[in-house]
This record gives sequence, C-alpha cells and structure tokens, in this order.
Amino acid sequence: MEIAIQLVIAGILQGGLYALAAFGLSLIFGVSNVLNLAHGEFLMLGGLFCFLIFSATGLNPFLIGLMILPFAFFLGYIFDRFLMRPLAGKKEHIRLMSSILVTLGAALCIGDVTSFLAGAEEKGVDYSMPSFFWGDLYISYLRLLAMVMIAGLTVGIHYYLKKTYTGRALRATTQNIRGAMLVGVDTSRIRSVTFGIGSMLASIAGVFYVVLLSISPDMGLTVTIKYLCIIVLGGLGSLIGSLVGGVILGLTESIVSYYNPHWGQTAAFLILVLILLIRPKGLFGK
Amino acid sequence: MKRKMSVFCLVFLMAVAIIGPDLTWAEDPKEIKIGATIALSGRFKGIVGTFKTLGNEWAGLINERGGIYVKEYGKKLPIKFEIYDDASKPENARKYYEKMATDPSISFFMGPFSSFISNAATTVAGKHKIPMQMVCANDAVLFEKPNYWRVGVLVPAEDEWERLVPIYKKKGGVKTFATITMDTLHNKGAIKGFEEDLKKNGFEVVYSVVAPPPTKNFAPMIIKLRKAKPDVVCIEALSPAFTIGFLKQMREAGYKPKEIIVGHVTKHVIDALGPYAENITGLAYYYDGDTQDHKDFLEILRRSGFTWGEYMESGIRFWAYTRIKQAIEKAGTLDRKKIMDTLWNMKTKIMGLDSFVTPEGYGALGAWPCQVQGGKFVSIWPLDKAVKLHNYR
Amino acid sequence: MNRIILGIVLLFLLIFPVFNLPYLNTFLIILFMYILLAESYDILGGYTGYINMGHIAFFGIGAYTFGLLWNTGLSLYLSFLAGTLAAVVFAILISFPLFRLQGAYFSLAAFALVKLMEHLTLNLSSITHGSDGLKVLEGNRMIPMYYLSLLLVVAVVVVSFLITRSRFGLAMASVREEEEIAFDFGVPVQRIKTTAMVISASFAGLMGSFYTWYTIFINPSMVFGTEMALMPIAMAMLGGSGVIIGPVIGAVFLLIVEETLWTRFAYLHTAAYGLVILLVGLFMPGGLVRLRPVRRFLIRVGLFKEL
Repeated sequence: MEIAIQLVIAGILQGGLYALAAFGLSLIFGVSNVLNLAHGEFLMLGGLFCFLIFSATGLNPFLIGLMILPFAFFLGYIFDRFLMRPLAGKKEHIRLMSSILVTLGAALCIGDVTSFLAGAEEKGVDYSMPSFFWGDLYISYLRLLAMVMIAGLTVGIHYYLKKTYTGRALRATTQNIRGAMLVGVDTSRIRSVTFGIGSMLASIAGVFYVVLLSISPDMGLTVTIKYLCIIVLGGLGSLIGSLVGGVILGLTESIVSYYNPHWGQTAAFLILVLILLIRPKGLFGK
Repeated sequence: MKRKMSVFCLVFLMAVAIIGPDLTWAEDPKEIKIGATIALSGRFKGIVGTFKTLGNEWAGLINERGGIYVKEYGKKLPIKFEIYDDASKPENARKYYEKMATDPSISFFMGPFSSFISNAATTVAGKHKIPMQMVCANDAVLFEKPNYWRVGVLVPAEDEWERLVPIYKKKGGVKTFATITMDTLHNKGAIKGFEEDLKKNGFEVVYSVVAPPPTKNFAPMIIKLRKAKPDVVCIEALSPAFTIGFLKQMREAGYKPKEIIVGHVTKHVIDALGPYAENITGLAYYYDGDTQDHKDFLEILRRSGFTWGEYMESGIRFWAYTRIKQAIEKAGTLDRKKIMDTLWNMKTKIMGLDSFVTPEGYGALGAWPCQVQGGKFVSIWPLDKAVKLHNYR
Repeated sequence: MNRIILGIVLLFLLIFPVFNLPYLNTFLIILFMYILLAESYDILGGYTGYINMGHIAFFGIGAYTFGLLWNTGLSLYLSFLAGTLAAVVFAILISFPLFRLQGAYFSLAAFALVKLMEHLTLNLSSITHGSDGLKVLEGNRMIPMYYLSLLLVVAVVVVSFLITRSRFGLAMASVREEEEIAFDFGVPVQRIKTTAMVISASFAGLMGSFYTWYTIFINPSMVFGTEMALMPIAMAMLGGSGVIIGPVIGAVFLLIVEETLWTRFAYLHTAAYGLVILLVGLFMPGGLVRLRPVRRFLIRVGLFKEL
C-alpha cells in the first residue's frame, strides 16, 4: 500500500514537471497554431542561464529564475516578431510547413551555438531541499513546488484569459483571427506576447529542470517532442489539458516503471496513441 | 536551350567539385598523418568533444621533440592529425573514413568513439587495408568477427571494473551491492562482468536493474532500492544526465548507502551534485605515477586545459597515441602492412605497465579506481594505497 | 528537353562507379537514401497534405525485419521483400486509426508511433537484441549497393511521376485541398489515403532494409532517432512539397550544404546548417523550387510537375 501511494506521489509530481514545460507550448499552439519545435531550446536556455549565474554568484536558483524571466519574455517576443510573423499571412498548408522548417532550423541553430559557447557537457545546479518524510513515504519539496506552481499558473492564466483585456484579445485571436482583427485587436502583437509568455514558462521549467535533473545543449528537440506528445494528449491549445496530460503520463510512467523500467517509457507512448484513437482531438481538445 | 543546359551541367560539376576530395599525391612523406573522426557534434560531444584539442596538443608535444623517428627515411617526421566530425553517427564515420582512405598521405587511422561507430569504421579499415588503432571501443560485438586491420587498446568491457573488487575485499565493511545500469551495449557489458566478479568474491548483489537511456523518473527504482538496503550503489551510465538524475533523486528519497560507485564520473557530475559528490568512487583511465609517460600525459592535459578526472576517457587517447608512436618507431617504416604487424605483436610498456594485444584484438588498458575527495579526483591505486586512501561515505 | 537533362544525369550516375571514388560513392549512397526518404514521404505528405512525421517508422521496421530475417539465413532478395512487406502491413494497420486524426494531431500521433517503435525494439530484446543492436552479415560491396540505391531512387521518382498523371493523383490532390468536398463528390477518401500511405511506406521499408545492409549494424536510436525522423521531412519541405523534383532538390541541396560545412568547419556547422533551413523556411515559403527564377527555369526545361 505504501509503495502504491509512493508511486502515485512520484508520478503526480513528475507529471507536474512535465506539465510545467508543456504549458507554454500549449499556449503558443492555441494562439498562433504553430508547432514550435524550438520550445525545448527556450527551456534549455532558461536552465543554462540559471546554471551560469548560479556558478558565478551562488544565488538561489529560483531567485535567478525570477531574474531571467524578462529576458525570456524578450527572447520569445523577438523570436516571434522576426521569425514567425512573416509567415502569418501565408496559406494554411504553406504556413504549417514553413513554421516546421523555421522552428526546426532555429532549434538546431540555438542548440549548436549554445554548445559552442557554453560547452556540450551536462550541466546541473547543486541545490536541494530536504524532503518531507512520513514513515516510509517521502515528498520532495522542490517537486511539490513545481506542482503548486503549475496548478497556480493554470488557474492564474485561466483567470487572466477571462478577465483582462489582453487575455480576452488572446482568446478572441485563438477563436477567430479575422473577427479579432475586425474588432481592432492587434493580433500580431498578441501572438508575439503569447510567444513571450510561452518562452517565460519554458524558462521556469528550465530552472526546475536544471535543479532537479540536468540540462545539455542538445536536449532541446528530445524534450520538445515529449512535450508535444503531452499537449496532444491533453488536446492542443487546452491549458488544463496539458496539466492533465502531463500527470497522466507521469503516473503511467511511474507505476509501470516499478514493474519494469523499460515498459514505463513504452506505456507512456502507448497511452498517448490509445487516447488519441478514442478521442481524436485529445482529452480536452475542441 | 543549349546555354541553359550547359549552365545546369556546370552547376552540377561545381557541386561535385566542392565536395570532391583533393587528389593531390604526396611523393615524399614530409609528415605522418593520422586520420580520425571524433564526435564534435551529436550526442557524444559532451564526452569526447574536447579530445580533438588533446590530440593536437599531443602532436604538438611530439613535434617539439622533432617528431617520430622513421628508420626508412633516416629522419624524424612530424606528426599531424586529420580529424572530421562524425556527428556521433556511424554512416558519417564510414563516409569520412572512406574519404581519408583515398588520401595516400594518411598512414594511420584512429578509431572513433563507441563500439557501434567503430564497427562502421573498422569495415573501411579492413577494406582498404589501413591500420586502425581503435580507442574507446571494447564491446564483444566488435571483436566477434576477425579483422586484421584493427586493434583495440582496452580490455573487454566486462573486465573494466575488475580493480574495484579487491579494495572492498581487503578493506571489508560492505557486503551487499545494487547496480543501476543504463541500457546501452557498453554499460550492460561492464556491469555484467562486475556482478560476476562480485559473486565470485563472495559479495551479494541484492538489486540489479537496467533502465532505458531517456529515463527521468527514478522514484520507482529507488523505492525498490530502499527496500533492498544495499551497502553499495553502483551506477553505470554513459550519459551523465542519467547519473545526475538518479543521484539527485536518491538524495531526495533520503537513501544513504555506505558507498556510491559511478562508472562514468566526470567533473560535470560532481558540479551538479556539489557536496553530495564527496567520496563518490569512480573509475578513470589514469593512475598516479612518475614515469615519463605520466609527465607527458599531464603536460598535454595542462595544455589542453582540463584534467584527467574531468574527462576520464582521456587516458585511453593517450595510450592509443603512444601505441601508434611506438609502433611506427618499432616498424621503422610507414608501410601499412608492417605497421599493422607491429601493432599486433608489439609488447611495450606505457605508464610503466604492459601494453599488448590479445589474439582477438583487445588491448590491455583497464580503468583504475579514483575517488572524489575535497571536490577533486584523487587516484587511489595501487591496492595498498587504495585501502588507505579510500573512504566510505 | 527534360528527357535530355534527366538522361545525362542518369548516365553520369550510371557510369559514376567507374571513376573509383569511394568517398563520393558513400556520399551518393547516403544522398540516394535521403532522396528516397524525402520523395516517399512526399507521396503522402505533399500530395494528400497529411504531414506524416512518423514516416521513419516504416524505415525502421523495414530495417529490423530485413536484419532479423537475413540473419536467419533467408536469401537477400527475400529479406528485402520481407522488409518492404512488413512496412506495408504496418502502414495498413495504422492507417485506419491514424487517418481519423487531422492536421497536427495526425502528425504528432504518427511521431509518437516512431517513439513507441523505438521503445518496443529496445524492450523486446529477445527478438530485436534491444540496445545491443542488430548486427548482420557483412555486405560491404560498394558497387551493388550503389546501383541498388540508384535504382530505388529512379523507381520512386517514376512512381511519383505516374501518380501525378493518374486519376489517383488527382484524387489525392482533392483530399489535400478540400477533403470533405472530395468525400461528398464520391472520392473514396479513406482508400486513397491508405493507398498513398502504403506506397509511401513500401519505399521507406525497402530503403530501411537497404540501410541495414549498408551499415551492417543498427540499433533503435539509429533507425528511429528524432533527427533521422525530421530530416527527410525538412528536405521535402525545403525543396518543395508536392512537386516531384522538390524533395530531390531539397535532399541534394541540404546534403551538399551539410557535407561542405562538415568537411570545412569543425565547429558550428550544425548551427550554419540550421540557419540554412531556417532561412529557406522564412524567405522561400513553398520551398526552393517555388522560388520564381528556379521555378521559371524548371518549367522551361519541363521538370516542374506539380499536383
């Protein structure tokens, strides 16, 4: 029994970590309909800057994470402004292809330049908090923090979308871009802002990543693919979907891994394919 | 129309010319050229990316002393590396070895990193009859099929950990072991040999698991590990991400074994773990000594700007370089067949230890124990010194 | 005109091994492999508009089937056939559930299948040898390999050409442009899509078998790797999806760029390579062949066959 509880806890907490990273990707897809293959690079950059500043100053990594948020936003904003905006007016099919090329090219480019400048080695920040122990059970406070954060962000962004002008404009852009343009929403700017927010979320996830695991410059594409799978599972563009998707994946992995670590990874992808067969638009997709 | 066609043909020919090899024939060898591919990009970059510098620094050191004496020409020839990036892919390695095989000025091949890339490379060496000194490749799959034109430098993967067991046997204090292995050919081989060795010496392996490389959540394994309560936890993983992830999560779970052994321990693993890395036992292809080889090795490391502990595979490179140098000196010629004969039959000493090649093609270099003490790597060999210096956590 | 050009190129490629340039031979074999993968991807991706990010799954299945069967002592040709058939069977099996999905869902579900296959080959180590990799009897004869890969490339181009001229091709284009309207007009949409996927898969499976034969040794991350999966797609899109010559030009262009960068620069070549992909995506939407001067030239020599 205790083992089962421990596995569920570990699975949910791992899922929270997944969801945190997938969240920004989902947001970006929802608004600009782009499969951003460079998302993992933003995550990696967030983790890398955290590592570099931490090595130089020894500050608390989460404090550093807060400090680099504006830069992450700026990075996402200019990424969209210069690389994605020129494609916005193109035909649907062409746009999809071009966006794959541009983001794939950017991913390769960012990864390689980073590994040239900062070295290709695995980098991790040494920062830990003692876990919470209760008998044989344990809960890692850091992972709990990630979970609370993703839950908070989901709720927070949900209300942001409902209540504020930018949020409503953002939703309008998602639902009907022409309509949004007609009522005077600057859809291009909205998209860039979304990209900025997405990049910010990725960099937060990067900070957690570098603290809990480790990062390396060539990890970008691999994690992007994993997070793309998560948001597909939850339904593209659905915020609650990415949270649920992440937790489902984390739980499956955790429970199956207990019996056989190999099948843990396999089961995660199997679940994804099965859910898509039952619900072709993901769990919460419209 | 005619003009258009000629333009088309011209463009095509230009494309061929750009990628075409330079077909210049060197009449008199002015230097000894060694061809190799190294993973300067792709997934192995973090492990071997810096060894291009190491090779060039070694060549620089030899050339400062005039080069390698070749009897046939009656003079010392300088040495030079020609290195391509195989991007950690066997088909790229094969392509570039084929490219280098057409260059008659290249007298030697050095192998690429990892067994499965070496597999592609040795095919080329065998086909064109060019001697290849392999480096980081010692898995059985590579030696199943006889190939005269390649020799290794390492002992079989199964024997890589053999120097650890005597320490525990002599020192006592630990009984039960657990092994966590990343699912790659090499890691599985090393752990298999180690476990057999442990059982032979009366130790007990209480938990043993193989996990796929992209594993991120180790909690299920750690739950089992805590129940098995081993004294020693061994992690063998080619990718540092695996090691770091596992150790950080073991720390989260609050499990404190008496001893942690990490097969591929590098500076970056230690940095990522901080004080927790203290007294982690590891393996490196170097041990402290005071032969001329030791001095040379430390000198090229100093020039390259890293230490043997930061990239534990650097020792393998040095052994391979030295073997090449000695083979040329012994053979006294650059004739490929004679050099290959020498590589097989040569029995020399490197760093004060015997270096030879077994009939299958394995070498004699194994890994030596080392330990992280005070944030630095300390070499703990020979055995008496190891028992004295080695600390449990 | 187009016949003359194609004839010259083909003749040149046919007599190429006479020059005895092993390095260029290996380069061309890899080039043919990517041309074939890009072109066969485009049969589904370019003509029916379903961006199949899981195309490499067929390749990997072909590679493993070939290797396993050849190791049991089956003859080479039968093993090739079996590799192709395995990919085709897999394509038929997944086509029914997969084509219920649309757009990005389709692409990503297909990609998840690649990862699923990678993990399965890793797990079923009693059959596939898992991470130990699969080693086959040594092929190592450059000339037959060269001609076989050349033959495969010619075959895939000819098949694409025949498709564009047939009613089947038109039906595929109708699926790409307006699937629902095509369905209303009586186009058997599901059958068209499945057939396209099967044709596309058969070539990929055959090439996978060839790849095993060529590299002697395969492991799951080699044949199902992320970069391996994305590159042919990038090549097809970069050259011009939906044009016969597009993927060919894309593959030739990218590989020449890659080769030049790789042999000239030790560092930052991947970055330059990525930059090239990025710039093409940004400034040449629709790919290289749809760029006006290139397109005009191709139309004039009669090589621009679009669907």
